[in-house]
Amino acid sequence: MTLNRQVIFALFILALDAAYLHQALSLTFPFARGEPGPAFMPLILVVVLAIGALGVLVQELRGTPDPDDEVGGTFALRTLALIALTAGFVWAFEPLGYWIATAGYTFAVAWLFEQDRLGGVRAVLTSALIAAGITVSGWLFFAYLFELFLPAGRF
Amino acid sequence: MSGEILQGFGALTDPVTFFYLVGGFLMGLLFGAIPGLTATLAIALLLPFTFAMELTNALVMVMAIFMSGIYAGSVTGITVNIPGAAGGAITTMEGYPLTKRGEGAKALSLDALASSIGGVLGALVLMFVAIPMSQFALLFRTPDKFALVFMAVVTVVIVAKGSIWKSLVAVTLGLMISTVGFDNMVAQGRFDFGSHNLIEGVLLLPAVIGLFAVCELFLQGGSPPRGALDAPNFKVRHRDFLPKWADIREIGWWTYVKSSIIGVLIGMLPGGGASMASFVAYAEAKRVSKKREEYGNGSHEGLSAAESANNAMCGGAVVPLLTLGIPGDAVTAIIFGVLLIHGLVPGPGLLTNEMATIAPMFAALMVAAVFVFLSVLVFGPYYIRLARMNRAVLYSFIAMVAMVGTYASTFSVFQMWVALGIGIFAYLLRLMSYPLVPMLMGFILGPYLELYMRRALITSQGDVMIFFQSPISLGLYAMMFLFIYFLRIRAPKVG
Repeated sequence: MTLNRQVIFALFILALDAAYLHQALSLTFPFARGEPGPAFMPLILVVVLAIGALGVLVQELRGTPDPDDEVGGTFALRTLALIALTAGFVWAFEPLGYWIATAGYTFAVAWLFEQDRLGGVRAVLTSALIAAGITVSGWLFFAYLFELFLPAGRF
Repeated sequence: MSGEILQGFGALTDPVTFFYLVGGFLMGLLFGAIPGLTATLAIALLLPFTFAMELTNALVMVMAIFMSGIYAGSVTGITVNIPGAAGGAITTMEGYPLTKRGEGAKALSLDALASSIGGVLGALVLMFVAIPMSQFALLFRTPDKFALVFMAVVTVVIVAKGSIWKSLVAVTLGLMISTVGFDNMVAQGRFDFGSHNLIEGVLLLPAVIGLFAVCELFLQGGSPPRGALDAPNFKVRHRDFLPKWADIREIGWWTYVKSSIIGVLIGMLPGGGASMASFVAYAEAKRVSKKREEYGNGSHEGLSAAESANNAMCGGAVVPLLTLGIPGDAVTAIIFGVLLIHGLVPGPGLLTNEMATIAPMFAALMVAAVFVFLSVLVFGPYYIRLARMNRAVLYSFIAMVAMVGTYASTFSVFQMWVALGIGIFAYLLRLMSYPLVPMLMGFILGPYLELYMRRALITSQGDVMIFFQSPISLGLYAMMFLFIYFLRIRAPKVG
């Protein structure tokens, strides 16, 4: 019996389930007014999710995970960097505007994928070219071809 | 009806619509063939643009991506032993041994021919079955509709690969997300934490972008760079991609037809999809084959069976969406969104009232299936290069379209945060080997499941027996138990 990452994740799902239950209990209780009401389905879902998460827990604690499970991804620092970059991009998108925010974001994403192939300096040049091409083509698609609004920045 | 379908073909002669058809076809080829990218991702990325497109063009483009993306999933499987998508895995088992023997061009040509035949047959079934089925669906009362959606949710759980518990967790999480926001039946906010942004619930677009595009970007962050791929060891001349009549006769027309029928039926099944279609058709072809020893070593028959079913699935998957309002897989779930964005509600009345709008979609599916065969004659020699596309270009492009597309379609930075949040959560689920398609299906089907359940219980004053009174409901539950038996308890095996 081992406390592996699958077990921890199943416990995390159960914690989410508890938080959802807490919110569901603040709604009108089912059939209190003669009809199922807004809490009816959420309460059923709380039970079903708990059954599912407990099923995973039991499978893992018994050491009998399903051999046909899809192959999971691999965690890497680059993923953390991508999450941080995307969060930064969302935060800066309206204040900096489409051009600056997108150019910076695509440059950084491209560099993350290029630096292990080309090395630091060459990756900077290639990524700058890629970012310029993608930023311009994005604007052509969204703003020019489909006439959708893109922010210009607050300067 | 046939007149409207012919008009659908006529609509494709419009240069702009034809441009979208070809554009979608090429986009599907590109995304389907690149390992790690899928037709689902291509359609998810297209979703923001559909806001500004005419509905016919959007549907035509989506259908073309669907057909070519499913086909292209096997191309790099055959040439370099890396299937572009999970649906191409079975074809790879037979196609790559052919490539290693120097028969790569033949494998690609048989692959394209089988995909074309399957795709055309699937589209034909869609054209002839959709109208009668939607008329039958008009007989459904609220408890029957609940039984239908419930069957779909259960089937999605049982057909997902791997642990059934993980699949159950995924679909329930999707159902839970669908409960966020305003409750239409009693005018009360739920799970919105007092935020005006959440009162309208989680929108489909950021959910799809988060689940498939943002999550994929993060997953790729953790995957090592691809090494140099083997060069194909066959001469690549255009004329080599014409299949030989002797090979087609050896495979036999019945293999194509039977596999296509299997593909269509599995496509109609909620949660079915290309992988299961090719898997079951391959297993069936092997079961009745006189040359079983060739399977796994480059069997033309096995390759053709898997590919026919793969592409026939496309037509089948659209049937329950248009006739019953039940999306069969992730792609049709996104098509569901495209229709909703343009004010059309998929379901029994759709084909009766909007056949003129929907008919070009049917036509596009069939024309795209024909294009599949033509494409191998034109692009066959270049397919190998698709697997070598620069990852920096690819993923910075995906990142830009995903996030900017979410903003451009909703004018809301909050929805970008939602897409990012769902993307991170989906990434964690994938890291732990939880399937994402059931989550999307739960999210899409959740509002209908709840609506029909509550309406039925209100009518019956809380008596649950209302769900077991109508013959249609009972028939649907019986089908559900049959699916559980055949797809989980006695699931077919390839080996």
